[in-house]
Amino acid sequence: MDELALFIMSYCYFLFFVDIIGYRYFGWLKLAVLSSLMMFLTLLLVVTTGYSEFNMMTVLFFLVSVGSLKRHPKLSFRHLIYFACLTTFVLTLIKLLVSQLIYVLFIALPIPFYFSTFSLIELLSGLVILSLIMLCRKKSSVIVRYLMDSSFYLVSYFIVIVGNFLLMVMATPKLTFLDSLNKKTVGLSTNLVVILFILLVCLLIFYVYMGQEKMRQIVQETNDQELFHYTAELEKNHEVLASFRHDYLNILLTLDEGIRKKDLALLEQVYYDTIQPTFDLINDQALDLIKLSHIQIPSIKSLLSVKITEAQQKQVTVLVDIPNSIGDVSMKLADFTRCLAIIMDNAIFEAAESLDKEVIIAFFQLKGEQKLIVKNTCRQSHIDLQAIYQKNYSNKQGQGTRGYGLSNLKKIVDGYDNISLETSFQPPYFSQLISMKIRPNNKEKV
Amino acid sequence: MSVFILEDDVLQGERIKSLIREVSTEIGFDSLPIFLTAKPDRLLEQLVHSSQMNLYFLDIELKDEALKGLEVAQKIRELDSHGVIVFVTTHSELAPISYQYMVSALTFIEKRIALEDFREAVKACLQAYQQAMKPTSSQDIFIYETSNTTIRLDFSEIDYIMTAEPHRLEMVTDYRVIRFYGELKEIESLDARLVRCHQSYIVNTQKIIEVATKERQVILASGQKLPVSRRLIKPLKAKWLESLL
Repeated sequence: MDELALFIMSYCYFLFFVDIIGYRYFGWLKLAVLSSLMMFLTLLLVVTTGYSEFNMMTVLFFLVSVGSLKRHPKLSFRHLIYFACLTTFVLTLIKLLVSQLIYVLFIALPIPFYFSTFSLIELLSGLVILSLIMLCRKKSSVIVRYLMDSSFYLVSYFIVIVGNFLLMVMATPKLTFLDSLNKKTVGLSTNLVVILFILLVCLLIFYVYMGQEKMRQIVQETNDQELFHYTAELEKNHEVLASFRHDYLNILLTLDEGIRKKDLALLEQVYYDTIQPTFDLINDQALDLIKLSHIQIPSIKSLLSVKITEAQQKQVTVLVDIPNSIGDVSMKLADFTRCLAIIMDNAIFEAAESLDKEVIIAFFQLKGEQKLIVKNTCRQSHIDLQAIYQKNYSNKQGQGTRGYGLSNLKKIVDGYDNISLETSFQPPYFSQLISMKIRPNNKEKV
Repeated sequence: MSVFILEDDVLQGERIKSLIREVSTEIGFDSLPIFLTAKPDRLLEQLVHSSQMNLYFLDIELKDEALKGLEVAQKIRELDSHGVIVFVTTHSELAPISYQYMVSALTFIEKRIALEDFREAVKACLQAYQQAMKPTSSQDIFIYETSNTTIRLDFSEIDYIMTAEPHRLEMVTDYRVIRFYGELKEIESLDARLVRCHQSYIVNTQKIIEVATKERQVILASGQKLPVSRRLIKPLKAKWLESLL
């Protein structure tokens, strides 16, 4: 029973460690093998040599070597040590906490005491910790990644190292140096360790909270930026229209005069010099931005106007087809905007490289479904429609460019059961169609 | 079986009419009655008195008419559910993809392109109409409709359907991939020609060109190879051979 408890704890160490370094290549089986290895080695060392320091040392050793096994880009040695110490510190303390709780529970409940109860408590606390780790897998790796970028790292490094040292001191060490420390500071070190742990947790909460505020700020800023762009573009359009109207009136006056005087030469001149060229002006894409007025959601409107302007700067023609008013979308707005951005970016990029340089956007409602269609010309003669959705598939040249866009699009779409994604290619047009089935109260992600 | 043209510019209307006459003779589809008008009401009146399954060339931008191009098309759809509708537009002011979907229009043609291209476009529409009129081409439409999604396409387009993620299916056709929420179980039961060949694959037996028993694979006309599970290979082969007869 003791061995099982130890095994579970070792497994917890590895699992937690692997989660926080963001390393997903270990399967359950591999982790189990590693944990048993670590467990046996630890037992062996401690029993044969009598140095209980080996408990912590072997754990740290194993974690650090596992972490340095495969090439993980961002992990320097300092980071590895940090993560390993963090793992041991946090988990040991949580285990102490949990064991204490279970012990108290045992006493409170009318359960008879056996010799094996202590081992049972160890086992139970191990299982509790394991389940906690499993529940928070995704969250922990995300949180840690964020924390690494902030100053939390530096501050907590110190706490973690000292905490581990104290733990070693507390755990009946054999090294004379540590032993004497133990004898001297028995009560103090326990208190100190607990204080350090609480401090660490407080810091964590503080930084995570600060992080959320920052995120909110950034989103707000981006929204404001886009809205600003949109209104600026709109004003530009008004100017274009106003000047056009002014020219038009002038032309009318000249024509009027020419007809009164029956001056054919003048009429011809006016037509070829001034009227004919305006044919291009009428088809000018600046007017397309006005069509976006059918969209009543500001963030979508501004996103589209920014993307359209971007496209036009790359000499790409954008045709906007939004026949009816659009008030709402049947998915979380943030997700929809992301999808739209990904699709538009891809479409504009491809169109810019193509011969005809054309992008068509249509957004309308039909029979209880909202449809968003983005078509673009592209230069390929053949596209594997399923391969393009794999991560890291990218048409872009250059190192370090990753094709995350379409795989993210897929992920978002998969999160909603009322949304389907149709990708088609009929040369020269590549097209993406998102269909959202309208259901009342349907913003829930699956 | 007639051609209806809705065009308010007299010259343009005559141009299209004579072009259609010329091209239809060329592709051996002659003596098609052609009805040209500038007024939507007249067209609809005429339509009520004639048969279904017609070809329509509609100008989207009708000036001074109560019924705009889209509305006319919708009314036509109500009267003629299988007719072929083609929109005729002036470039870029209206890009009628939405209209296309809303009334199941075939396509749209721009007026201001070169005569040659315009002629080719009209010819393509007539050929599509000719194809649709053949007695052998029955409307073989595959429909999968749930509260989550609606899929509607020609059955002959379907190559196979696979499970991409739990409850996420992908339908693969010649030129497109549709990723939707659904269950293979439900789709299997919709048509006898859709056969389950694997835990995660349903194949359209009409698209199979070879069943490789040893490798446990089925090869489609598109060149795609799909896996077949051990216990399904025999029934699959049987159903495929059956469908060939």
